[in-house]
Amino acid sequence: MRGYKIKNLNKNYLVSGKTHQVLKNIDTELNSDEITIILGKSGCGKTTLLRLLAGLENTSDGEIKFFESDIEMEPKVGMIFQDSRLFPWLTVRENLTFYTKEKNKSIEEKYLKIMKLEDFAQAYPSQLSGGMAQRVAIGRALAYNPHMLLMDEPFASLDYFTRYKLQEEIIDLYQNTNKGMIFVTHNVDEALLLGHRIIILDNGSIVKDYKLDGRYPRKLSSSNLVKIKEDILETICIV
Amino acid sequence: MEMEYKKRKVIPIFIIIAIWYIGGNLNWWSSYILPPPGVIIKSTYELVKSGVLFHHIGVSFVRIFIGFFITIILAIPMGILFGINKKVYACFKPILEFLRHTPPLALVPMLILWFGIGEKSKIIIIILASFFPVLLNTIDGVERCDSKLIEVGKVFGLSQKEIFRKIIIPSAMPNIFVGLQLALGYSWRAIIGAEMVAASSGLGYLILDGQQLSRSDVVVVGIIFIGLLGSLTDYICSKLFRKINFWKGDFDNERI
Repeated sequence: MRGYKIKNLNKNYLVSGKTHQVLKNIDTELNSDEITIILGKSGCGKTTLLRLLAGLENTSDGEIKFFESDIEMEPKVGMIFQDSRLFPWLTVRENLTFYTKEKNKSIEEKYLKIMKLEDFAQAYPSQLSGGMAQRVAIGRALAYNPHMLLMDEPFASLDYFTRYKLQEEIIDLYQNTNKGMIFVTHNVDEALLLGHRIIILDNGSIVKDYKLDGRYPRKLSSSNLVKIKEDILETICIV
Repeated sequence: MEMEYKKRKVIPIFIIIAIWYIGGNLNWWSSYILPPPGVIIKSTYELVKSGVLFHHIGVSFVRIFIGFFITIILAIPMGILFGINKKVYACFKPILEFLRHTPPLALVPMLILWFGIGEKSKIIIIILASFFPVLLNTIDGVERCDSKLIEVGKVFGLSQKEIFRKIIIPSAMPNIFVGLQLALGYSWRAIIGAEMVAASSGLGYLILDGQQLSRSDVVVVGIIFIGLLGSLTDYICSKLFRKINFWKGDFDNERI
């Protein structure tokens, strides 16, 4: 087993003295060598699930374990948020390796090249467009050499064309690095283009789980994807 | 465009000097009340030539430098401590609020009583004047650190110490610099007041001495130099801080 094993996961929040259950009895495994999409409406608990996987929040009940070659361990995750969350006082180059104790030029060069950022190495985040900043954030997460990438609607605030280009880049990255991803989105097309697996989350529970053919690139007009899309929409709209 | 803007800044100064020059020469007012520019230039020349002016400027500068330096050593670490530990801040807040609302010059009689009329009391006045802008801005800078950036540090496995060093402190720097710049202005105002009360040197003393000798030209020279030096140090600081906080600039609105 490589990836997350989630058992009977529950997450509650106390709001104005009232308990709100955000995640209910989640039981699943998320492989660290494929792209898993968590799809759902706003407020369905998908970001909470991702934050729990990243260790940014504690579970109310149940457990989340991570395995690498069947050995349980603390996962190293590269998280990409909806906003780039770059450090404004650091250059693109410095942002890529901000977490290292010492400067590592070779890692910086490697990921500047992978993310096609060589020309902007000395630029500051305030000089970058939204798409470019998000590419730096992806590069930063990759440079950390994580077991998995966790992406929380990373392209939600980008325009259609930038989003399309970055989706292509994500597929290229996966094919070149074989780094698994858990990708949270509310965009059905994005889910169909990227995912090996699509988990539909609604009202805190997994309501459906699709396995998709792993081959890329995909065409949204293919009969198989159209059928899955219809089913997803029906599931989300009915539940 | 920039030239046009610079020209506009000079016009009011030019008008004031012109009125001053014309009014002084046409005896619109007594030269004792406000000596004409020619007399001021002559007095400045004499004070510069004799070395008196630079001696007093030097003395005031040294006092400010020492007081300001002590403020930096005390206020920045305290601000960081209070910024990250709200419980400690809550304990000290009433005392700090009390001191903040007490003008340093109001403490002069007590400071003279406790520390004499020597350098100590003047430097303490500078510390009291410059301490709060630095302290409060440092607290504000630390408290305002974006929790989203701290979250990034946590995800990337940084320890609390590293989060503090790599995220909280750099993000508080612009606020700290604003505090330092404000503090420098406050120091100038306070030192002049302190030197006018009890001193035998410094720009404040020069003004007081001029008054006692009925040399209003010396008083005006003192005032002009205080204004010039205050503006100059503020300008140098703002340039320096802008250079350090360059990432906060708008980069001529350039976006890639």
